[in-house]
Amino acid sequence: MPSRTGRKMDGSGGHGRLKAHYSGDILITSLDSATTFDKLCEEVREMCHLHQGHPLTLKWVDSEGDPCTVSSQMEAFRLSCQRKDEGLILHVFPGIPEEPGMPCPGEDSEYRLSHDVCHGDGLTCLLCEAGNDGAGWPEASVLLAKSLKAEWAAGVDSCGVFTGVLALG
Amino acid sequence: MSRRHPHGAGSGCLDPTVAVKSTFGAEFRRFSLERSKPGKFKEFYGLPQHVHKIPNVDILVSYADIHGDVLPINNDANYHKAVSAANPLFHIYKLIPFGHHLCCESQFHRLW
Repeated sequence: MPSRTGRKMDGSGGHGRLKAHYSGDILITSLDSATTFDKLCEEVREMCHLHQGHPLTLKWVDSEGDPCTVSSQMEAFRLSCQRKDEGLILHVFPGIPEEPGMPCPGEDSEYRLSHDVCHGDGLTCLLCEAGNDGAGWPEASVLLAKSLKAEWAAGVDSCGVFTGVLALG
Repeated sequence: MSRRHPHGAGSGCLDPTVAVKSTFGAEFRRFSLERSKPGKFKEFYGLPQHVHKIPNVDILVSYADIHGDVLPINNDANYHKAVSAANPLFHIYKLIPFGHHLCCESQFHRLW
C-alpha cells in the first residue's frame, strides 16, 4: 500500500547534494541517489562525528515550511528528486524526542529566522532555503541568525560537487 | 513557521502517487501511497501509528478536504474519498483521547 519508491531515493541515479545543518554548522556532501535510510544515517553520523548508533533525528523543511522528520520511507528524497532539487537540506539533531509528537531537544532554537525578516540583510529563512534551487551555493545566504558570524571554508571535489563546511561561530 | 493557503481547484490529471503529510503533536511526517491501490482503512490506520512510533495509541484520524473542512477518516469509504481527492497531497491529523498531553492542530490543506 505505501509507495514502493519510498525505501530508496527515487532519483535518476548518480549523486545528489546533501546539506546538513548541525550544531550551528552547515555540512555539505554528495550522496548516492540510491541510498537507503540506514545508509543516510550512517553518512550523517560520520559527517557530524557521531559514533554509529548514536540517537539521531533528521528533519527536512518541506515546501510548506514545516520541519518533517525523515523516516525510512525516504519521502524527503522522493519529493526532492521529483522537484529536481539540486540538493536536500536536512537538520540534524543528535537525539530523539522525549516522547512521540514532541520536538527534538534544541529544535526550537534551530529555526531562528522567520520568513518575515528574510532577505532583510542577507539572511535566508528556512522556507526560502527550502525553495532555493541551490544555484549560487554557497553564495546564497546561510546565516541563520543576526547574531551569528559566518566563516566560510569550501572546496570543490573532482566531480564538481561542492563539499565544504560552513562554520558559524 | 507554516505557510498555509486555501486549497485551489484540482487539476484534471492526478498524480499516481498520493503524498500524505501526517501531523502528531509537534511532529510532521510524510509518506506516500499509490492512488490506485490505497488499501483499506484498517491498513492505513496503522501507518500514522507506525511513522509516529505510537503503536499502542488509539487515534482518531482526520483530514482537510478541498474546502478546508476537517473531516474524519474512520472507514473505507471516507478513506478512499480522502485519497481520491488528494491533489496530490493530503494532510492527516491525529486526535487522541482527552487526558493525554498531546493534541491535534487543525491546518488547511494546501495544493502541492
